[in-house]
Amino acid sequence: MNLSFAGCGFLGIYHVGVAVCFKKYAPHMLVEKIAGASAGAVAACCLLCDMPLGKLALQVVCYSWDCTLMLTLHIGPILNICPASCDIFDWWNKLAIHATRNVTLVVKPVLISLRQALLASAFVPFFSGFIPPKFHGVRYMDGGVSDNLPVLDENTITVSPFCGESDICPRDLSPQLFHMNFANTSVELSSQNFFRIMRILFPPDPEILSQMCQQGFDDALRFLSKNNLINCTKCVAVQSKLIVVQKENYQHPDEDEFDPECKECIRHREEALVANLPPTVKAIFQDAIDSANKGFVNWVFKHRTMRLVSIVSLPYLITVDFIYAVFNKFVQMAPVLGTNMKAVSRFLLEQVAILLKRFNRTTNLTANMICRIALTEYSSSKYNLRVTKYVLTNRKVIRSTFLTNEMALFQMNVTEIFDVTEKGDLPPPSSATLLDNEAEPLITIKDEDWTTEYCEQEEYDPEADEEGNNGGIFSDPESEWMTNSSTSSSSPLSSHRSLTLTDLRPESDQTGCQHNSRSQAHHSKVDRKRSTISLNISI
Amino acid sequence: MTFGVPFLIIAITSSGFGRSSRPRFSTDPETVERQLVTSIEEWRKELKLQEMILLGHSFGGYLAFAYAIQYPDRVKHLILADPWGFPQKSIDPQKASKIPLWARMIGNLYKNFNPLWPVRFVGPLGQWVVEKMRPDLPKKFTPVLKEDSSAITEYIFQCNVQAPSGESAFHTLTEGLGYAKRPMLHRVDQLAAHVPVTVIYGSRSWVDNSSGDKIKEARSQNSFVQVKSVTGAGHHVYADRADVFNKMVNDTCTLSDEKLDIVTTKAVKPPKEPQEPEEEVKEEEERKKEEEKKKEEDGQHQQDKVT
Repeated sequence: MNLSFAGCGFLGIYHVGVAVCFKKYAPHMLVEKIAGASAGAVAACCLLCDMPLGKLALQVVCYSWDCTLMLTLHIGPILNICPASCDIFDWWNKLAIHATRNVTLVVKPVLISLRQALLASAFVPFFSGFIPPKFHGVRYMDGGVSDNLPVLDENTITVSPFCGESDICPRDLSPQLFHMNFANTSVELSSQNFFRIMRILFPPDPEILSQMCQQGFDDALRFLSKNNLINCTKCVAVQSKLIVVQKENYQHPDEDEFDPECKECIRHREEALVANLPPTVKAIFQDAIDSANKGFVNWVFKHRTMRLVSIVSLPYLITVDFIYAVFNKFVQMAPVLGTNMKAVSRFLLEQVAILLKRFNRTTNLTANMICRIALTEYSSSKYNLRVTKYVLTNRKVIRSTFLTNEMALFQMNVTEIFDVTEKGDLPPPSSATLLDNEAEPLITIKDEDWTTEYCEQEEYDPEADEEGNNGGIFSDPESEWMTNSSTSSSSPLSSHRSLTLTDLRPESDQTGCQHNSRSQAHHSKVDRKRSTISLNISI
Repeated sequence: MTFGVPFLIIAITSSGFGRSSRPRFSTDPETVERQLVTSIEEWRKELKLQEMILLGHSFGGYLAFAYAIQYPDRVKHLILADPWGFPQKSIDPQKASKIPLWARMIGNLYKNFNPLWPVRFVGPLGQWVVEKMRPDLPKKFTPVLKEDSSAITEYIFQCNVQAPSGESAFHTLTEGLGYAKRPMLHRVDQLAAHVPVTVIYGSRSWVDNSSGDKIKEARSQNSFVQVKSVTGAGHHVYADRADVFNKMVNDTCTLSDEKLDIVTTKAVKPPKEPQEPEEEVKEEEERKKEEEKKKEEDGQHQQDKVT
């Protein structure tokens, strides 16, 4: 059976009582997963890492005392009790910590990761701070915002300090017909629950904390005895063995017969009926209560007039406290303030840039690119022509190579429709129309950075090209070029001596090209719609 | 597990609740109870049913028990699903005084109004309030309703936004909402000994589970009382663990046919009316509709099963 603890702020002391009871009377229940949100996660963690629960109780009590004096809160101090040496490897995968977005934080078996997860799960905005803590790069808030009482499966025992429909919860004097369901936790609309809700973030006196702890212990005990889960160690061992046997469908004569009337168990149960909180935990509360009642200062603070004064002065105290806390925070953050500010400003600038781009949304662009193709070499009666055309767009080079057997002026309309994606691993689907003749266009789209491409084209010397030195112009890998050549040579028409034509600079001058490319780039960045380029090649 | 397959199932909402008429009830608890019970009896007469297995949930359980006390010969088996109104209110003055004054004040103020007044008070926002306050309700019914999960909250809102006559009747019968003014445990012995009783509790429910055993104790030795518990289910037992609950009810219904002959039954079993399959289908559909839509209402209806 799995256990699940509800998140509940300072009422977490209730979980301590429940945990103490489970440890004492049903340690066999703790072998499976334990889930929790917020304070429940802390309780689950403490239960798993087998730390003395008295210590946890002490921490909560001391901490609540601090909090009554100082309003600004942080769950951090409670986490300090997690012993640094605790053997996290034994149980890290049994823990399920819930945070916002209905996620279970997957804790790595490292203490720092656990700490972060607990902090993220227990972050109450405005109360614990303003910026939610990060866990593995994502910011989370208190689990209570989305799913306060995580249910792992059907056999989850739910523990909630609010009277409602949970397995282990206090049963109020007057059951109420009406319930509220807050973040998966059922809360009865009773006056006691109103009282408890007020205590989530504002810690009560040690007496009340002690009562809550006791209540948790009693409720857990009631649950255990009602479901006959209190057994002696021997019977527990036999039971677990029986389950294993049932699972394996294996029948063998039982050497240890499971005896429902085991005397040891009965003794155990009777003992449990009158059980109370263990003295270690109880002593802590007693000390806290005593220290709260003793001394002249406490007496003064307990006095009615003093209480009135404190209530009246609350608005001023809060302001002072807030300023103090902010100051403290700045002092703490001073070493990393510079980097943080840089990160924040960068983030803001990025946001502004995105916003501006959204306003600059432009319509689809259609561009005509006219290129003149110079024939560098030609022979044979059959005019085979291979034209290699590079069209520069944003990060794309369309190289269209086509063959024609007629030496004529022709016009090619390459209606290239492509997505200008940043990572075009594959050449996007392209369609090319050749108006005049039966030539086959071969269009390859290369993923290149157009700016460098362009620069190279600026340096491009048509004279050099005429000498056949066209291989490395467009920072085209040689292999690509070769493949293309082979493709063309494999076509039936190219069995003849082929005439190679390499394109020169486009007829429309380079600035036009540049403009086109730029706008193309801009356009593609903005909305990445399909664009149309019609390409006219005249020979 | 389908609910009560071999039986004809009729789901009713008692007057003052759901889509039933809204008569004005008395302000005296005893009279209110009699009025409600009589309305059920009238309905039974109208349908000419000789005998039925009576199932009531929450407040419906209270009414079913009250009905069984008054008309034991009409009830073949009484099934109480998480019944309300059995234990006596016990006040521990020591514990009560620990609750701070302001919390008690809120509680006492709330006590004087009809329990669902906030839903009516907020007017058109009511459905939203229901949705926000009980997001678990649509969740419970998703297996039946699939994507149309807002139907539940809408139904609750539409039913409760009307004149709250049934609600006031309920309010008259209550003592601080959780308890009945005339708790049933005091009257268990008034139930005729031959009426078999099955009590089904949800393990997480706020209803005091011990009442089942107390009923058992209070009744004479040869009366049939069984107490069952559905683990992991809250007050809405039928929805939280529908499969388990349906199986329990089905088992109980078949049990009443076979094994209960040991109990001396005065009523002569009437010959079963032959039923047209078409009618059964229709009834089944009606039942489903009713069950889906009406069961979620806390204690505002009961289900009658007729063999």
